[in-house]
Amino acid sequence: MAERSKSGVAARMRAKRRQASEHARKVPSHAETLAREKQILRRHRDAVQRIDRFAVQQRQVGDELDRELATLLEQSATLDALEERQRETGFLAALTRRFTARADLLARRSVAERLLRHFEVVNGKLAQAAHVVDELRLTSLELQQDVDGLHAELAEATDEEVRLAARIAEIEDELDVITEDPTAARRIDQLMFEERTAATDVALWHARARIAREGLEPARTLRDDVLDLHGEMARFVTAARGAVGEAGRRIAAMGAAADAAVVVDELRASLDELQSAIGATEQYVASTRHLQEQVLPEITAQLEAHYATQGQALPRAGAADRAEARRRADQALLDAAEAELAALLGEEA
Amino acid sequence: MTARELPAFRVPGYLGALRAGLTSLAPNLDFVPLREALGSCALLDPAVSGELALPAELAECGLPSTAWLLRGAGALTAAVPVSAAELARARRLDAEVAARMEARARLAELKASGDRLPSSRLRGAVRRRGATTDFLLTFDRLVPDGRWLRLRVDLTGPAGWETSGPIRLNTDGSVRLHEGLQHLVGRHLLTPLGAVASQLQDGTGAMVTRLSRGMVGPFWFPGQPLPDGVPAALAAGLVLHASLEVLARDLRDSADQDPLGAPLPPLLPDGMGLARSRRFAASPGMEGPLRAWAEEKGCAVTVARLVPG
Repeated sequence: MAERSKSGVAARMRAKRRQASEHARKVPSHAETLAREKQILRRHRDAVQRIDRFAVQQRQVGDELDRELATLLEQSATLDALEERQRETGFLAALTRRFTARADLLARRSVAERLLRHFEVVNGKLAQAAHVVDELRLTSLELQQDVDGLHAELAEATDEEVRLAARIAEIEDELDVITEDPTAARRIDQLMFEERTAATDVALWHARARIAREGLEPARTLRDDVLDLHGEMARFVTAARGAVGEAGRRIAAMGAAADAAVVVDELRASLDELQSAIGATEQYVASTRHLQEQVLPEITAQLEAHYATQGQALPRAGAADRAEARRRADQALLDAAEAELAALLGEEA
Repeated sequence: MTARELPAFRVPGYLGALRAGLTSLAPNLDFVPLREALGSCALLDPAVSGELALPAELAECGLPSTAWLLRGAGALTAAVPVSAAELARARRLDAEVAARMEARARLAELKASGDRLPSSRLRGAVRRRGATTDFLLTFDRLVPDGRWLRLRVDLTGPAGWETSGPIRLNTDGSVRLHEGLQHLVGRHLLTPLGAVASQLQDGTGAMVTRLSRGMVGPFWFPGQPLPDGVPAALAAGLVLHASLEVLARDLRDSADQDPLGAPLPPLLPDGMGLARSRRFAASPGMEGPLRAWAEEKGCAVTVARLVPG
């Protein structure tokens, strides 16, 4: 009877252990945690470098656009001169005009030709800018995936910490009951081994949770900066395309007559529209400059400083005694409770 | 002169009709190159450029507007090859961005051929070196009303002028043009040819022996406004025009066979004749009305069969 009872208890315990081991996720090894930390750092560095390249490219595109749009606007001066010349109606002016027109036949430049050429270049630059806008969108989505992944890792690690802490508490309770029982030596050994293993696992999951938690902030900052840049760029490209497109339609439509004073006013109106595009371009160039010269170096420095200290802060893979196991379990439960409270209060993780 | 927007769903059909019209017209060297015209149609096609060249706008004459063409050209200029890995990444992250990346990849392939209509281009070639030095100038330009123009100028000058004038012959046989020449012809897109010849002779110091102005367009189709005096029946199908005006020393008599042309100028440069003609690519059923209209105007015209693909 006693034998049957013993074997029944053993079967239940085996089943319970199997259930627990099935429930438990694979504990990240020390090496895996270090590798993950390096991977997060590498991904952030890659993202920063990618954004840096975009910023350089955007700045070039912005500068070129600025130049081209400014050149288009410079035609206003030519138009003024043309208008002035057409207004001179005296005999001498007419005679001079005929004479200089002939002499300057090849020196004269067609406003329409110039406008068309610059308009073509501007279109190419805007297409380049639109390409970078798309690249920024992809990068921001990728960074959001990173942020999401870090959240998932944090949740998984915290769950495991709590589960293991609860198990350590169970083991402690059981040990308290059987510790004086001389027939329970084998069981005590089993429980102590399980407790020490769980305590190590808690420490590893704790490290994984900390890496995820601390990786969240720079990842979120980078994502938000890219998102801001994307928003600014998209607004700029849309506004500039609108202004340039409208001006271009008029420039193209009046090309043949662009050298005649009769259309000067209308043509100038279309050039005025470009002024708004120039304003947007200047603002855009300034913001990419700010990103490139201040924001990106700051983020890079923060990332480097943060990760430089992380590898050293990982737990040493070593067995813990019962007191240490209890301390780690208590700490894990405390951290989980704090995280839950922060989440309830809507504070950042 | 206002551009009209073409709804996106009509763009493929419109471009298909235009391509068929261009192919049927088979323009010769007096017109913009067929290869380039078809290249521009290809890059505007949403199947190639996706939404990058949109919105689709038509010029007054029914051909793609300059703004639409230049938007497409801009997208082509900016297109860079996209790797399979980049495309896969874009597809994984955002379907709309991925569609644009795919369009850029297709444009990058098209870019290699380089065939598209230029907004404005002047090229020169030497035709003869001997007792005289003869040059051929070819000026291709998008005209404000949307038509595609080619001005061809045959110039002849005494041996040696190619070393001192605005058209220089390089030692490798290539031709270097003074920048002002392009601006000069660019100022006279629609000026009567006699006056253009006179300006060119003044500007180059050489003699113009032949000057032609070939225009592709207008393109008439249902819903497209027609010029005053043109029967409404001519907008019942597809009609693509190719008009040619030639001023040349070997033309003894002037002739006007263009039902849409203005009256011939009373004065032409000494020793030169002027000829005008117009050819059409028209969809089935349009040939009769076109010929009747031309006959009424006293013109004999050529009509090629346009079969939309």
